[in-house]
Amino acid sequence: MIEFFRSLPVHFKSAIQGVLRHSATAFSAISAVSVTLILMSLFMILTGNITKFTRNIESDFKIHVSIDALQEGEDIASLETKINAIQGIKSIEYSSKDDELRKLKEENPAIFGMYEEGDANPMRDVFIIETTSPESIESVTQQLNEMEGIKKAEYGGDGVSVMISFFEALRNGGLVFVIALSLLAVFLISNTIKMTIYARSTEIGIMRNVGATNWYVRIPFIIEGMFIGILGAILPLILTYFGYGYLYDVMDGKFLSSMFVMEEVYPFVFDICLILLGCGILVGMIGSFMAVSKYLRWKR
Amino acid sequence: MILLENVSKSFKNGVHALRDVNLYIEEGEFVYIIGPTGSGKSTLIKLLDGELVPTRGRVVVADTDVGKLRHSKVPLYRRNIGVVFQDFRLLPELTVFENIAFALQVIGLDKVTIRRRVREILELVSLEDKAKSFPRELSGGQQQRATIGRAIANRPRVLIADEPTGNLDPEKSQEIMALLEKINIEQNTTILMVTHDSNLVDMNKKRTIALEEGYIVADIQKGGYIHHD
Repeated sequence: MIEFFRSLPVHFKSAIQGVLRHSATAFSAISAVSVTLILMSLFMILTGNITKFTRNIESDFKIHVSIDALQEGEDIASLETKINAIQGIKSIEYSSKDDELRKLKEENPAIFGMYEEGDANPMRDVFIIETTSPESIESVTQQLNEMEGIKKAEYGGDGVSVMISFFEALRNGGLVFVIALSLLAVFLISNTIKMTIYARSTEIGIMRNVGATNWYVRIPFIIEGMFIGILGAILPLILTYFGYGYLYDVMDGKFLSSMFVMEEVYPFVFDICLILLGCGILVGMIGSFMAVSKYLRWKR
Repeated sequence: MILLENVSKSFKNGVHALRDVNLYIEEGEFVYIIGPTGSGKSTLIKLLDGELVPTRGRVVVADTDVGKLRHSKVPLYRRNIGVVFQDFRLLPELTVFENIAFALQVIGLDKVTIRRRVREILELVSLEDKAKSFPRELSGGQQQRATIGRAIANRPRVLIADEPTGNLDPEKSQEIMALLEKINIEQNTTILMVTHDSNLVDMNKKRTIALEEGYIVADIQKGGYIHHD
């Protein structure tokens, strides 16, 4: 361990030398990392906001259950326990027909003002049900419709659920895309490091001859990979930091309609920047580790 | 110190570099390995420093079964042996001092110890005045002395020299011989020297092992080059 720390300055020096000596290949790897991280950043901004959108929509996303007019008092209570037994239900709220009418009157007094509460009320008692996930909303609604004592159960409609599954698909597709790009970046970095290794093969040979451990040989290259990762992260970090802030201001914090409220700039961009930097370093380390280990393996 | 038991080494291309070699070298011995090109000398050295694994048999150096070493343990084993090459293998962008220090840095010694040890070594190989020179500024003999210095810097128990005088004129070769003998006597380092140089072997008579086509064809305690036609 002491051996390790003592040798760190030497390793850092040779890592910097490595990047400088192969500035052309290093540059190509750095650009690859930059491109990957920029796309990763876009993906994360997209995902972060989509998650927020979905959460917003989901909060409006409730099943409206009209209770059969014949049901009263105790029947309604037992109906509630039965509904609660259905899987995927988060909350259930009872609202009497008078409450319902009052709500409508508030929203639109011109039309509904003429209706009166009591026996002449045309509304029905309702349950307002929230599901644990948007995916289960359809099956829950279906089960409710089959239940006795329920006139009708309905939710926001297919449009919303289609949108939610579209968001989901977008998120998953983006994830696959970003992973593929990261692999490409790892490959390019490992190629760059390979150049450095060839240029320094005599030195590595001598190091091994005088008893340098595998880790001693590896560390400078891994540090070099980390440098490439960090250098590649600089541009994406700047773009993310200022770009998202600008976008947020331009869009006034919402996307198209107030239904899609964007994620606040802070701490959202900090999180993304941190993840980007981490990914850059990780990708650099993995790439160079692979290259050196491969080289070491066939040299005893 | 060095023990080879029924050691054979063949390569994938069908070359049998060593065939059933048995050899024992005691601690503190100075031994020549001679033989024509392709007789298996280089293979023998590579088996000894762990670069190659024997196809059959056992190679034991300083109580270590070299052929059975795990890949990651080879470097640790190498700290017990020093290797000197014909082509010197000094790092061109480092000074003589740094080249010798390099071998000690690699095994993680602290700066003060390294500096002290490198000075000792420079004195031993008579390169005190060349400490700050780069390898290209040195003569062949001086470069070889620097290489020997690097090889013995961490006090190895065995020193393997692969044609250390191969690129040198007779006078410089004799200088290197004197240095190796000094190391052998003063530090009690076991020395194995591969050579082509019949004059050298005849002038400095030591135990001589002759290889030919992978066999040990002679092992003479009193020494002297074996001429065969």
